[in-house]
Amino acid sequence: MSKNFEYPYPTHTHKLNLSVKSEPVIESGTIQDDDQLPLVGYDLYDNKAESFKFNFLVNCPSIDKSLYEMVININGTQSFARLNLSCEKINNDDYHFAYEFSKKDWVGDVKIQALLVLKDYRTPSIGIAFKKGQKYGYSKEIVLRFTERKETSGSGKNLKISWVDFKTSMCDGRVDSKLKWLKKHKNDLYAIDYDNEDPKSKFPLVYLNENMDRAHKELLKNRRRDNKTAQTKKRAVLFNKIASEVTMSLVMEALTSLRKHMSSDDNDTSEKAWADLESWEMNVLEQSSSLLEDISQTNYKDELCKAVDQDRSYKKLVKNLPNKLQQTLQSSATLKKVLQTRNN
Amino acid sequence: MNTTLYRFKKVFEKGNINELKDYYVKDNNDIQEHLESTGEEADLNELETILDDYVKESIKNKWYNNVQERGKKDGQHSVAVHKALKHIPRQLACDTSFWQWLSLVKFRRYTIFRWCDIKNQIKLTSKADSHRDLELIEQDSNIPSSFLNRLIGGSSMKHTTSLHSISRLFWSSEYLYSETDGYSLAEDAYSPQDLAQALLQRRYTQHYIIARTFATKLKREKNSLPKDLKKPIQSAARKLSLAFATINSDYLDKKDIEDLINFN
Repeated sequence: MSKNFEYPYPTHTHKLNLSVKSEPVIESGTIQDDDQLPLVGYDLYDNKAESFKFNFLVNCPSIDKSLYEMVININGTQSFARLNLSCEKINNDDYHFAYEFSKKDWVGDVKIQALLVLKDYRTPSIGIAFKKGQKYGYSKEIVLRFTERKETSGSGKNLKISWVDFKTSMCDGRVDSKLKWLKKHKNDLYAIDYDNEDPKSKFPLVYLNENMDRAHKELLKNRRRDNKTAQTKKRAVLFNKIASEVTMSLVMEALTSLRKHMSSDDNDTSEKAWADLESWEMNVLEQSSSLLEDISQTNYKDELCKAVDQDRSYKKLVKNLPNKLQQTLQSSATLKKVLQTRNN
Repeated sequence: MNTTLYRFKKVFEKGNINELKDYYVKDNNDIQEHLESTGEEADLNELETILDDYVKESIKNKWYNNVQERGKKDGQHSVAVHKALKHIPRQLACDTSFWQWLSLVKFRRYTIFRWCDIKNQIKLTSKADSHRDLELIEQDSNIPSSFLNRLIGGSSMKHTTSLHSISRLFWSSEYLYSETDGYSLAEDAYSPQDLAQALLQRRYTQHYIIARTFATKLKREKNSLPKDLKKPIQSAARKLSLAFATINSDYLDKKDIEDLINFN
């Protein structure tokens, strides 16, 4: 549902255009927020500067300036801080605000949005905004990422998801010939691309099939943040299923690979076997300590190498994996919520 | 005297709780290898005395079977935590691994006596040697998730401002402290507990003036409201959430917010 339907009065959202310039100059890119929504964003965590000055420019033609005010909303949910800054009008349709962000004051993602708000109360009437602060328009959000996203072990959150039409290899509006292999999975929900890893997370990419049946697609594309409705609870089960299967595949692949390297004559030490792993395999195993029972945390890599090298301990690891995964992903609790929902 | 503030090199989560078991049975000296300095210092002496006194009082008065009694000093503790740590940078105040050092190492007995279930507290009062506490909890292998939330918290707003045993105390004062009123609102943040629960988990209170205005109005109107304040508080907080669906909460001043808060 369009966000506009939430407003009991017409908005001028389509007219608001927010653009940003930073000092020092930082290239913007597309980054995904918590809901996997692609947004224009700036990765600031690996930049050496201690502070960043951002100039926000908003263009919004044809508004009644006596009624409305243009503000920049800075929302740092993970920093537990929000700011609202009034813009300065620089000409008829353009507004400006500059703000300096100090690295030590912000954590995680900070979302910036231009908002057009009602300046003061006015006589109530159906179909118009009349309460002070009511949003009359909003721009697209821009994200400033101050700290690298920490990924949760075994939760599937660190997997980069892309929507691709498996039948036609269409991704982001164009045909990608490298994705033709997906055609043989045209009826599936997802596929893992072991040959391509996300440069940031160093995990293989996961593709979701744009061509999947409508019911599944609607669930997966539902952007509601809460987990209270029947739809979002069902979505959680579906996410859980995919995350569980993908994690299982990745861990098994990585374990098998480590076992192969351990049995190789060239590798007389666990250190060498570990070094022979692909970068994503190392990453998966490093983050899977919670799934691999009986491996001591104090000397994790060494212990894991020893365990995979012995038939008995390797079988035990593999045997326990599905149950550890269910516990980690709280699969049973997620499913229970759906079963308890009425009218589902 | 100032103490170095540490954090765990790794954040504990429900998913890697088995790693926590390793630390449970370890001596504090061994735990040091899993910690790193945050580069910050704080004078924790007064706070340590206050929380140690709480543990002694809890054992003496057998508060383990009285949940309400256990929470009565939260307001006072909140002020003490905030006074000791108010100077730390925001990045550290939002760092789960730092709060985990406080709850698992520095103030772990406070965390246990404030939040652990009755059975383990009884065991602790009889076998209260210094490293037995966490071992006992570990033996009770099904660590109740409610206690686990208090012990390890998490990075979400709810975990940090409302659940984790120490960070919740810090953040309630951080939200409610003001130059003009000092800690008067923070001291009352947990009487009743519903105020902190209803308010500090909501994103709109990150515009601190909302939290302060809400607490001030409640304090003023408390006597004219029913004795059980849970419903009026929850209802007012919910109505505010609805209002902020179309209103930009951060645009409003104290007077505007006060007009929107309705406990009836």
